[in-house]
Amino acid sequence: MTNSIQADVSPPLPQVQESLWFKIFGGKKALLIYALAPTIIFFTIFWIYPLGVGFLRSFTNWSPMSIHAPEYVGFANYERAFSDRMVGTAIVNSLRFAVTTVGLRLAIALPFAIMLNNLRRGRGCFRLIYFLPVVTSVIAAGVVWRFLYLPRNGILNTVLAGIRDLFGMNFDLPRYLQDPNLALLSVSVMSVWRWLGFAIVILMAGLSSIPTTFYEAARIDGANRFQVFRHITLPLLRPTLIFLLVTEVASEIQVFTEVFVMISRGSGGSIGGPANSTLTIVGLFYQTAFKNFEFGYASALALIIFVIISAFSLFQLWLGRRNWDY
Amino acid sequence: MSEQTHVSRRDFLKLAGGAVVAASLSGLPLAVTAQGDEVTLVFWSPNCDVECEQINIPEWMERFRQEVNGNVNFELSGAPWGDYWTRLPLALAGGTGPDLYFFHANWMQQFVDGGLVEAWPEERVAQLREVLDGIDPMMINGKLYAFNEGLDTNVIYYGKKAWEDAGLTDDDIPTTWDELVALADALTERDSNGAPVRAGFDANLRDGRWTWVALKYQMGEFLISEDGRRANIHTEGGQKAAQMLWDWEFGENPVGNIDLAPWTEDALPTEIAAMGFGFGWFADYWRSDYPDYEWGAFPLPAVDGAPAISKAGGWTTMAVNAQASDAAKSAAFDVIQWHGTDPDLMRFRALGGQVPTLRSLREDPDILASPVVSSMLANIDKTVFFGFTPPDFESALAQITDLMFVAQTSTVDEALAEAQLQADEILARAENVYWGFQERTATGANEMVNPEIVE
Repeated sequence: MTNSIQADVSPPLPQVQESLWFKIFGGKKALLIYALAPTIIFFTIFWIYPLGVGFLRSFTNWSPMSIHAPEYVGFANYERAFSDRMVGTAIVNSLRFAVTTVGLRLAIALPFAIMLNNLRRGRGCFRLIYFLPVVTSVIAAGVVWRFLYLPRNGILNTVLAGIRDLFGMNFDLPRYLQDPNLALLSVSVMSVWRWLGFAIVILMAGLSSIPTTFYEAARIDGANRFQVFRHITLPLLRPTLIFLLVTEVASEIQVFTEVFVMISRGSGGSIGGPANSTLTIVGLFYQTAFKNFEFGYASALALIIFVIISAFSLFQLWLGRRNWDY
Repeated sequence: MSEQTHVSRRDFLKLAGGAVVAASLSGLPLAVTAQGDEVTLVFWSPNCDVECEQINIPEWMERFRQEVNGNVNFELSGAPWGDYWTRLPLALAGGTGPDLYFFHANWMQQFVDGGLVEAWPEERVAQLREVLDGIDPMMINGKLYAFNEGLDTNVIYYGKKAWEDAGLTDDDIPTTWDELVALADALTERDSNGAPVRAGFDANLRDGRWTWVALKYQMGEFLISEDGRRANIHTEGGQKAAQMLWDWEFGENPVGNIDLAPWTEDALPTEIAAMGFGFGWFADYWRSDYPDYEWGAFPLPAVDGAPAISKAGGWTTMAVNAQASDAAKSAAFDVIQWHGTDPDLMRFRALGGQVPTLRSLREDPDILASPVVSSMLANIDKTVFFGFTPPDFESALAQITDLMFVAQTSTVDEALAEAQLQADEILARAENVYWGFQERTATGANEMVNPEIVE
């Protein structure tokens, strides 16, 4: 079946090859080069070149606030990074944030996507509602959530206090952004809410690509809902889930804006409070590069971030390519 | 720029006119510069600066042209505050920066190290010293790169309504911390559990490092060792200062609660706090954001025998690009010197809640009419400037109250030890030291000590 589909949709290449323009511009190989050239040029200028410069400058004491040329310092910036306990804290926080946020988001998005996919009416409307936070300004959303989280007079704690008084319970109200055990999780919840719609839309696209014949066959065989989900939906949704995992983990490890908007001023203007519980690796990079203007050291941190994200992405891609038995 | 070889009749008239204007300006140590070839100064300023709102920059530029040198032209460019501090150093280092730029002392270390700022000629420094206060603490290795046009220190603000409701008058203004806490206790409103629902005194603990620094200076201790390589944070005085803050917040009879309102500047006008530890800029903030709030201010209380009262800050003047041409540098210094010594321009500092450094304004009735400036003036000669430290040094100081009050995870000792560790790492890492000695230029420095660190 696959072969016949390919045969049906194959482009009329022979006709192209026969055209005059095709011959003038050098044939098939040249056409490939022309097609790829914009991408190659774009990536060379905006990705490979800055990466190369960043790599070289990570071995210098480069400061943009100086008329003096950067001096070669060997591995000093890397030695500093590996001996700086703040870097370790920032990496652990970033990984915790990424795992928590992506895990929570996918755990919520998947059942929502399945429910929406089964809806006969109003699917588009719900999809729009869930997608609205994605197109909301992160600054505006962050400020609103900061007010929701206020320990006194915040909406969440006002509701909690009402419940506590109503049922005569006795517990301390959470200090969402002030308690080091809750601060990162509180930001994570905001991030889950903000990007939930994106995950739902992608998962719905994945679900709609699963042929209905599989479900029909499973029902005839007497499979219950869980068995259908476990043996049909989940395996066939694996490429979509892997795509979301790779893109979202890579994105969430680089979290910065949400933390900056919701937390930074609350700890005396410095990044990462309370008690460094929200210090992320990109936050540390920002502080090093744009507050302390230590671009050489910041370049070393950027390279470390690059290696961590690459390692995660490769691991997830390997997971996606493995053969799984269901 | 080529040298002018003759003086035309027109040039002569310009010179004579300029001399008359200069002579009419009392206390101005600026001689009229030679009316040579025209110079165009590129000037950058953050456009959200308070100065842009209260003093129209093009207006004073035109005044400079009319009163001092008509051959100086200006090209004004602005950027929002955040962008400005990224764009400016990059442009200066890249050789495309302005000749003259708005400056802030927080960046002094990097700008001096990077060769981005020109030092003032010695003869001009002598002229500035004649009319301005606060020049010496700004000197770095015998050179002046920028001076303060206004000085800032801490005061206590109070809401007049809360004050009057409690039957308090000006006679009740406290002069010691014990008196202030007793007053705060009377002004605190508590719920049935005894927790404050209106703080009698908000010690600004969200950014409480400056409250702690003020108390530490009152204990008679320097914040940084004389060689600049070690912080004096985890010390006996540091512990006493932090313990005072702790008692106000968590003691048997707390007068504050950090969770009541996010920021002191908002807690006071919304009547969530009756009194609060604050800065000069609060007055300006309330003028624009809480115009109906009626407030008063009084000088910071002190412990007995305190040789110093609090930290000194300042509103730094403009600075000159070290890569500008000689003609541009000379004209730029003229502009800054004129601006920083002009009584009319400097009077506006009081509106922004700052004490002008121009000595002749110290007795000015307009200045003294401002409750915040008059409160600052009472203590300004007993304030300490701790120097041009690296920017992350202040982040290390923030750890003290961040750990104790925001996170509530550390005891006094633990918080001080952590801040000490971080600050020492930062000071030890710095290549050039531009601090330490600056604290020792304070008026009460001879009564202060370099304390032992609690290990």
